[in-house]
Amino acid sequence: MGIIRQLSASVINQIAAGEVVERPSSVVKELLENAIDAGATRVDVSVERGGKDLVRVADDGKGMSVDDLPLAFTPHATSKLAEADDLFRIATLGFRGEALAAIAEISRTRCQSRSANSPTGAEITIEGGVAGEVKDCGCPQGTVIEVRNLFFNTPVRRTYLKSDSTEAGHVIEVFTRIALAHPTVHLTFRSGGKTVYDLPGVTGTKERVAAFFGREVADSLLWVESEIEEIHLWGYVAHPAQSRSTSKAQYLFVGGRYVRDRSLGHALTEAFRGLLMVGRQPVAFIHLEIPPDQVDVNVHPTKVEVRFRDAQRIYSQLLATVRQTFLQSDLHSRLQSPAVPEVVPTSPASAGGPAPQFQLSVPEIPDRQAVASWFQPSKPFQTYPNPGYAGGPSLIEPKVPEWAKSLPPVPTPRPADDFDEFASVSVSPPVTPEPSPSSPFRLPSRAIQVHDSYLVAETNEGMVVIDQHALHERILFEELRQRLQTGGVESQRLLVPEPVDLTPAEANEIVEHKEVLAKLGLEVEPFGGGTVLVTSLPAMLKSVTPEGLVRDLADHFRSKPIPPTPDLILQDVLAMIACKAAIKAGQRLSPDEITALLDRRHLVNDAHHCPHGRPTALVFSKAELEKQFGRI
Amino acid sequence: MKALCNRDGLLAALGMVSGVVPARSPKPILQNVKLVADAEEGSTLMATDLEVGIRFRVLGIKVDQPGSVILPTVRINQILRTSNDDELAIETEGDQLIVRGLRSEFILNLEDPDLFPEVADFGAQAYHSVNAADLRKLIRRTIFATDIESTRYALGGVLVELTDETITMVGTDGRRLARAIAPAEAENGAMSPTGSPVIPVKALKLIERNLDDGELKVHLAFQSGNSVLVRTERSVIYSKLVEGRFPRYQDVFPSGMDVKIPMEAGTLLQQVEAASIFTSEESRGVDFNFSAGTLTLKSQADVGKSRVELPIAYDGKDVEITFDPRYLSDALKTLDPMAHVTAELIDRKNAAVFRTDDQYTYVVMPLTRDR
Repeated sequence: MGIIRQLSASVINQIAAGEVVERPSSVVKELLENAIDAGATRVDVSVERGGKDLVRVADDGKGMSVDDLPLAFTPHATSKLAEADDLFRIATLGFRGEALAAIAEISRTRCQSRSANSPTGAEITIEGGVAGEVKDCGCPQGTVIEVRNLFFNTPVRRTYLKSDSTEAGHVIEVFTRIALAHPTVHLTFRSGGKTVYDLPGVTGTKERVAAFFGREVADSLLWVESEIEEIHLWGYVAHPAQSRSTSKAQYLFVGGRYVRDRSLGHALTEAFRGLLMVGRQPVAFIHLEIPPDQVDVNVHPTKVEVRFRDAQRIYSQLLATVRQTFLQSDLHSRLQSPAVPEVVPTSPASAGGPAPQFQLSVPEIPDRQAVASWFQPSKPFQTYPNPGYAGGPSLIEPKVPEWAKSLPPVPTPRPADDFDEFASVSVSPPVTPEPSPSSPFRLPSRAIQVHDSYLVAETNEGMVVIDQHALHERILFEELRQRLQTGGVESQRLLVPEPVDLTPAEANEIVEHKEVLAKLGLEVEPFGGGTVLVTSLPAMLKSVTPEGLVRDLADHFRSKPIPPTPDLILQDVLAMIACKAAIKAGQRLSPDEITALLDRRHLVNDAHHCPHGRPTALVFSKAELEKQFGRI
Repeated sequence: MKALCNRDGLLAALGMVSGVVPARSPKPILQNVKLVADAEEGSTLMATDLEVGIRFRVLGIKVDQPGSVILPTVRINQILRTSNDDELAIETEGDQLIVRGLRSEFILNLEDPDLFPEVADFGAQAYHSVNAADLRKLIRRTIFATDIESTRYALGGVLVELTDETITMVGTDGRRLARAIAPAEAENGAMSPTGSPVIPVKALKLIERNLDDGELKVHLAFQSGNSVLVRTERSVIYSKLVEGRFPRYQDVFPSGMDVKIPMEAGTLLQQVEAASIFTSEESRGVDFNFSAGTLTLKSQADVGKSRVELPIAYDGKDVEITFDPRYLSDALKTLDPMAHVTAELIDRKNAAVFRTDDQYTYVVMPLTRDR
């Protein structure tokens, strides 16, 4: 007898179920997506023991007729697809017709459903893939599916389930993704008999973000949007002060479906380059509307991965859109005082100490001019050096989905507070002559240095504490970048080329980027093996040895996940140069130097963050001061 | 020990040696100086940081009882400065050191003078001798081009090459190189030092301060390739040599220079400084445009531009080249304003050479900029 035999349908289904249903959260995902596809306006999800005992999803969608019921639970049966060509124009979340069958195969499933034009509902019970009779029952319009004892007939899989709370966490994550993608649907979530979330249908993602991530994140969101040749991108990114240690708080939706995409994740990180500290990840909620024929979602059974026909274009679009938003926004960190005023000593110096009650946050009062400029017409993209982005983007008439249109609460700028009581009381200016107060924020009129590291300056709307190193670094960085754009960088040639020994791989990286480095004034020649010859150095680098510079660069190139573009290399090298050339913390500055530094502050685009992403300044608004002193 | 010291003489000597005294050191005794009082051989003040050491002959000391004492540099300096006596008595009494003036007395703790590290004396019989004025000129013309930071090469000092007839000193930081040559004599069959001895900048500065413009001879002796002793009129200076390799400097002198422009050092310096008013850290280049009859210097920074002209005796093809003006002024400052300087050029990419009539050669690499 041969050793190969045909597997029974039941085994085949169980195997297939393993792909689709990994854990209870997979069941929740499939059922929720079905409910959304059925056009539900309200979906109730409840789970017991993290979904191991029960997953129940009830919707008020269009429902199924008596005839549909048994068919729905057979493999590869679906209402969402008719022929292969339909795969190119998938508009629903599901389409494979696998999920229900798979779920039914490994659980005890009961389904009740009634369509709008049917007087009675129908009910079917399936135990481990064995369907029972279809019976009549009374039920409201829509579908209720109960999945009990998941994996009861696949003990192996059951043993791999984690604790109830872990599984519940996964379920919540799935729920979160769908809730963020479909804010118009009223969703509720009950776990262990308690209502965890009750989310009425809303018009904007923002409310949902607030429900899941807290008001603070929701208030820090910045609207991003662009549409280029049918690819419509919109959503929110959080202010850089809101960051996470993992990329888990990045939600990317393609056609209302949560997906993970490494390259788009990278685009996001790039867009935040210089705004976040190393190792921090941005928070973002981005929707992509792409014509169905531009994206293939049929890659993975659970569809968390998709393929884009033109991934590079989407990458550039995301990068450019987010950057553009940042360039138009005021990203100053705010020094926020704690909620309870009497607890606090609010001297600015204590912010440097171990005082965790201070946290960076964006203000709740949207009185900054920049916020109001969200929807001002975009500056032309050319102002930002992004070579990866050739085609001129058209930001005209973006097609926002209906519910999103009413969405962003455009804040009206409040008139600047003219309260002037402090001005008369305040200490006479110690150092600087009064500069013209033309710009309300940019030019602090007086400043003192504390701890030889920070500058405290008065502004028209409060005071600002500036990290002198971070600010100087940012100024130098911008100046270098401008210089690079307007003309070349001076390069000092060496009398004797200096050999630098590297590993062969590092040497390759360096030689590969020769042209870019030459632009920066660093000329290298391969010298065989792991050695490169440095023949000239950037003239503005004083105290950097060729060896140190080349080594740092090689390390830098090698640590990049994707090959860096020339633009990025330039930026990185400039950041390195700027950091080395900038004044350090602990360096005493003369009043003239302080004035000079602050005067140059307005010259740079990104004065609020140093090139490494640390904030350069903390803002302490007058309103906050007055609140702290009990004046208001 | 007991001695009567002339205050000015001791103060001058202290000023000369205290430059060697380290500001902080794991060996606290190095923060002192040692005075050896000896009526026959003359009294000597010594200081060392173990890398560089100096023995300086003090004048105006009347020795009553010979001996040696350790003097704390900072305090003794203050005592000498604040006193208005012409002479101060220094004597040891038990475990105390007493410095006494007419109306003042200072009592210090006495330290064992034998704990002070030995400062090498000039013992060599065979040595090279150079005119003090020449050596001083050589040091001044090369020391500015060194690079203390360099780790790859021994650039933190000046290379010294001695033959039976000449002394050559070379300083470079990898971007420019200065070479100066002067006559020297080998005494008692002194051999040329082996290897490439590089005297550190700190020692050179000390030596230079000990030289004057007279015709007096200075003696140099290299010891087994790792240290050098220099004897001047009143001092002996010891220094360890910079460890490491000095690049083959002969290779950097370009050949095939077809453009030669004679100029006058003082005028050129003046114009270079004028042109460099509008340079900055990030834009430091000054463009030199040599054309028939005129040298035009141009610079440009965020704050403005400058343009100066200088008539030159040149009628060849136009040559344009960019320099860091500080590199030029560094060297020109060491020259006599009336001295003739000849610039030798190839093109804007290659090294430029400046020569004087007294065997001074200065090579500068240009700046380049993408335009």
